[in-house]
Amino acid sequence: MKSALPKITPAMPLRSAVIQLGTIAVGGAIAIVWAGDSPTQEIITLALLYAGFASAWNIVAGYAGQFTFGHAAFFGLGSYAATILTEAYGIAPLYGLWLGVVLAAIAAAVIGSITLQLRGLYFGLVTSVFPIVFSVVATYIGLQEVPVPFNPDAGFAFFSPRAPWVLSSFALGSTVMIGVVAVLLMRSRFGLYISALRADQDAAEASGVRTTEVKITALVVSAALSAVIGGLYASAALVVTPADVFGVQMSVKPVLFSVFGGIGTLLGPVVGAVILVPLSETLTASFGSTLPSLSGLVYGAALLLVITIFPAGLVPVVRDATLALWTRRGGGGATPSTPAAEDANEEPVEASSAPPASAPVILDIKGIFKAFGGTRVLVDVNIQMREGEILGVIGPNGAGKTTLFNVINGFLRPDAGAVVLLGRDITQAKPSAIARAGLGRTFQTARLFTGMSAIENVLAAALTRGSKDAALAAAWRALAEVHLTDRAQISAGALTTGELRRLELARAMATAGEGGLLMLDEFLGGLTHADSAVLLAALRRWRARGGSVLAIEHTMRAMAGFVDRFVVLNFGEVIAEGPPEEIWRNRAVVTAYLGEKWVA
Amino acid sequence: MYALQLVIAGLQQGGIIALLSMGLALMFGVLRLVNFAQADFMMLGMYGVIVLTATLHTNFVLSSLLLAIPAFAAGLFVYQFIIRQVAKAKLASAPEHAQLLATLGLSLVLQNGAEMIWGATPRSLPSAQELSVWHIGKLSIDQPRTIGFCIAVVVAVTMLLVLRNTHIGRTVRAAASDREAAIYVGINVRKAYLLTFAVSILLSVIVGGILVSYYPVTPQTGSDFILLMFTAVIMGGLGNVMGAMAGGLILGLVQSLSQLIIPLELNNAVVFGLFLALMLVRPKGIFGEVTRL
Repeated sequence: MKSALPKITPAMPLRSAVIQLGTIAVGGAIAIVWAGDSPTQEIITLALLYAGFASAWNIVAGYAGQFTFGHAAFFGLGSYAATILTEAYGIAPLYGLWLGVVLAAIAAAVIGSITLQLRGLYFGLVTSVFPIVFSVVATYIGLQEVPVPFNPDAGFAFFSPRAPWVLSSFALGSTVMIGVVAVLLMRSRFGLYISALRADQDAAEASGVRTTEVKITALVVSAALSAVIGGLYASAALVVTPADVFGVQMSVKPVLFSVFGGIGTLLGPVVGAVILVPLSETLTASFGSTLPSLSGLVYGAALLLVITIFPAGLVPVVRDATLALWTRRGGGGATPSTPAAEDANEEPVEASSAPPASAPVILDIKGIFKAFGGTRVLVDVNIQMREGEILGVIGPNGAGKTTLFNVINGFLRPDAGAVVLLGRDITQAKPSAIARAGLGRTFQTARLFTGMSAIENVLAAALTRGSKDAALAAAWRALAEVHLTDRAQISAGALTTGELRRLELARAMATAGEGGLLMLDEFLGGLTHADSAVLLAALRRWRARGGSVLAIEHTMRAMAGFVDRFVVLNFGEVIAEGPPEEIWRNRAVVTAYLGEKWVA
Repeated sequence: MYALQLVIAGLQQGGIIALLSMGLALMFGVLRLVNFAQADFMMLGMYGVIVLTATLHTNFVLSSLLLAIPAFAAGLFVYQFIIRQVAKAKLASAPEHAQLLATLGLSLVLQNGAEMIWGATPRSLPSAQELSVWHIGKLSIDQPRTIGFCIAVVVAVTMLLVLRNTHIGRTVRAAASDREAAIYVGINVRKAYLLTFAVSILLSVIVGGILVSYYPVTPQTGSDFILLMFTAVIMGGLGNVMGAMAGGLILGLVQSLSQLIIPLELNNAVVFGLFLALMLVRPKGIFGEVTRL
């Protein structure tokens, strides 16, 4: 049955990746052969080294969306390790640089773990501090200037100083290798996690992606690769100083080249370095004696220009322009796939019936308290849900409904009390662990992984539950459940509001897995009748297959025909509980919603 | 006695960092913008004062005042033609970083441009070479640093009073606390942004004027200060102007007093160690990340 699944167009198609990396390899080789023993070869070496450094940075900043402004820390470790081992023990830099790789990986793991809870700007700011600390320490322990031992007749592992093409070939090889690592990474299941992390860290975590692990792994890979380049760079620079290899300029370079060429693209960082480095080096060679700071000025101006004029970078701009030209000519433009009309499991489900009282408890919320500052938001909340139940949580604005959800799925820790899901105490667990235990949720305003296709959105969540084949099957099934099969390859950013809500439900289903619990935060708000009908039908089938649903709404009306039971929250307390018809007449509930005078 | 001497030196240094950081915090609080080039404008101010003092044969206070006008104009220009353009065309992969990258580019241009004009060798005001101190008992108090500290206090207090008590100050605070709501009640948010940016650049340039009276300038002087400023701002809670002021003073004291136990060469490492510890323990700053202007 596996073969029945449609093919997914991956974010990084193999053919295109091979073509791009092949272009870099062939182009670089031609340039190296052409330059021969001329001084141009040094410029080529530098351009290729920075291309590799930028590509390494791009893995954590471009693909994973974690901007660091301190990659010089890892680069410099590579430079120092290779050089010191050569100087002190005569170990060739080709072997010595691997010590730098190990050190950089360790440093990245440590830095990653202590900056875990930091996001966005904070993360960037803090990472920028590390190379400065390293630089201060290196100066203090007497490493202000470590020359690379020079022996013109040294062999291959010393990058044969008599033949400059050897070093540039290693630079080219490393750059292509970094590209290969990036492609392998992005085409693996990890690639989907990385893209999800970049798009929305909270939503990724709630979908079962262990975002801290993903973040640290991306940083470690990127740091180790940066150290390879740093090690080679020492042999090109001939002297290692903290101001150079740990300097702010060194941290800025990968950022600059990647942004210029196109951040988050395979080719972009390489293109940026290959254009800007020779430009700056040539200008410095011509005017450097009179204007020593010209290269910095060129870099700064290039960054300003690209950010103000085409912030996506050169490669995406050129690609979009050629694509536009291509499609206008009518040649081979992508034809939209014809919608596959059939959707699975369309047999009507009879009006749902509540589970028997003997059904096992799936969710047990015991005495939850939560306060923000002095405001008590949840006060001794106790709720029990049985397997197969559809429970509605209602209450006026500010009643604590969303806070309750955030406590259940692990975004917030309760001040007191416990949450037990499927027999497991999850009170202290991380959101991703809770998701993997069988809980999928949606958000008040849909939070999808923009930039990923609809099927990838669901697949990222499904992959956290098991093997690739099972995940693919589950993802397609979840999409069919919400009638989005024909929109599977469309980027989530291009979907309508109703489709987004449906996609988010599919993702939550894939997260929870069959028989799991879905938590829906005001999922019917602002939807058309048709969209609501699709959602409600999918949820009824979900329950018929043994799943459970916990839904928040403002009002009873929207869910009256749908839920088995209501829990009414007001000012953080459960004020009523029971089947809809009972709640409808409950005095306390009417008072909470409408005030004292409306009570009949 | 030595410790007291260090406390005084710490406060003097802290006052400068405080004033610099307040500009940065104001900018972040209102525009949600981290400006990497903030300290480079201070560097420009330092060079500007040296040039003005030499050509007009006047003192550094007057030159700083004269410099205020071009500084404000430069702020308007940079906001209008760089920051706002970037805000319009957002970076696809990380919108919050686009403006930061722009200021990074600006910082490179300013530093290297300054080096092109004035060279890399340190320059200072002729008057800065004379050592002038007051003696109180066994304490010796550096005159220019004290005068600089007093000016910093006056400027800081003026800025806070303007923000609190004037119409324009209230406009800026409204734009900072809730952009949407401010637009709906008819506040010209764009004007508030423009003004905030220009004023905060102006602050940097004035600090430069004060600093150059006793501190030599190189094109990289800004880089020496930017991480101190970030530390102070984060200490106070991003966007919290009063917090940034407190953070700056604390930082000056820590820097100065740490000499008692840690070698001077590791001074910066101490500051950054503090910065890291803070990020781990209280990433939202000592006073919390609330936009409090």
